[in-house]
Amino acid sequence: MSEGDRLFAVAPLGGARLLIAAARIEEIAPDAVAQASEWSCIDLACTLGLEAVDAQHGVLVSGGGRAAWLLVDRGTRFTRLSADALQALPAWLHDASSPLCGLALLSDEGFAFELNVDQLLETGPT
Amino acid sequence: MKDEPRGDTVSDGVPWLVFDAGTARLGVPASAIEEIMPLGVVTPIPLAPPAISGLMGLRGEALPLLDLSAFFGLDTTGPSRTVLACRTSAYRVGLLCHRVRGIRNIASQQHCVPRLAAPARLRELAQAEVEEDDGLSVLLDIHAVLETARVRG
Repeated sequence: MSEGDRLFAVAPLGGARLLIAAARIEEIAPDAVAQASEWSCIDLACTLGLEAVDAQHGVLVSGGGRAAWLLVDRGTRFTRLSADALQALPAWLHDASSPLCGLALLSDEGFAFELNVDQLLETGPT
Repeated sequence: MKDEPRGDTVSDGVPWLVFDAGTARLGVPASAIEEIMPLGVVTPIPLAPPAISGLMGLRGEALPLLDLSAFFGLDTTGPSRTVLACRTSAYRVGLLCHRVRGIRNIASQQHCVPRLAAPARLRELAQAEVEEDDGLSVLLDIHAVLETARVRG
């Protein structure tokens, strides 16, 4: 582990893996808790065009005075990634309006996509 | 007499890689193909159009995959298992196909204006057609294919 490493939550969703910066995470809770919370819920499966395959839970993220629960499949774990492990999305897939801002190859699970938490919080539930 | 081919980008005796995607026989300039490999582990891509199958790792880099059968709406007999790593001036994309037939040296005099009735998208993105002894090949405008395929919605 080096000083430049960052901690990420690896959240499964619909066969894909999503990377959420751990520094932005306030809480992880069952979806019932998230739904009953004062904060809004963002159905990431709907937002990202994926089909949830498991019971869901919520990941509460915050920033810039905003917060929201991101609903993902259960099984979130944490991993450390070095700065050079994160790649830009291939140019062919790049879209400035996408809430995906990068990807990393996880040795045991294929590629995982980094979420732009600020953009998700700004856009809100869809 | 054959019609003039669309565009003027093909010179005499250019090598084309000819392959099957579903029920169609297609060609792309061989110079655009870096590598041919079997399909590996595929990661689904959020927000991608249906014809973009996912990402495959290629020596640590992410190669997005375009399923040509799905993109053109072609009938298929099974899943596409062969990847053509294709590089243009703008993009690097893996083209999914069923079977590679080989490299054909095709002169521009052999080109015909695309006449395929369907699918319409294949006709629109064809640069020319070539009738050979063993059948008809549709030569793709690969730049136009990749630009069209990345558009969502």
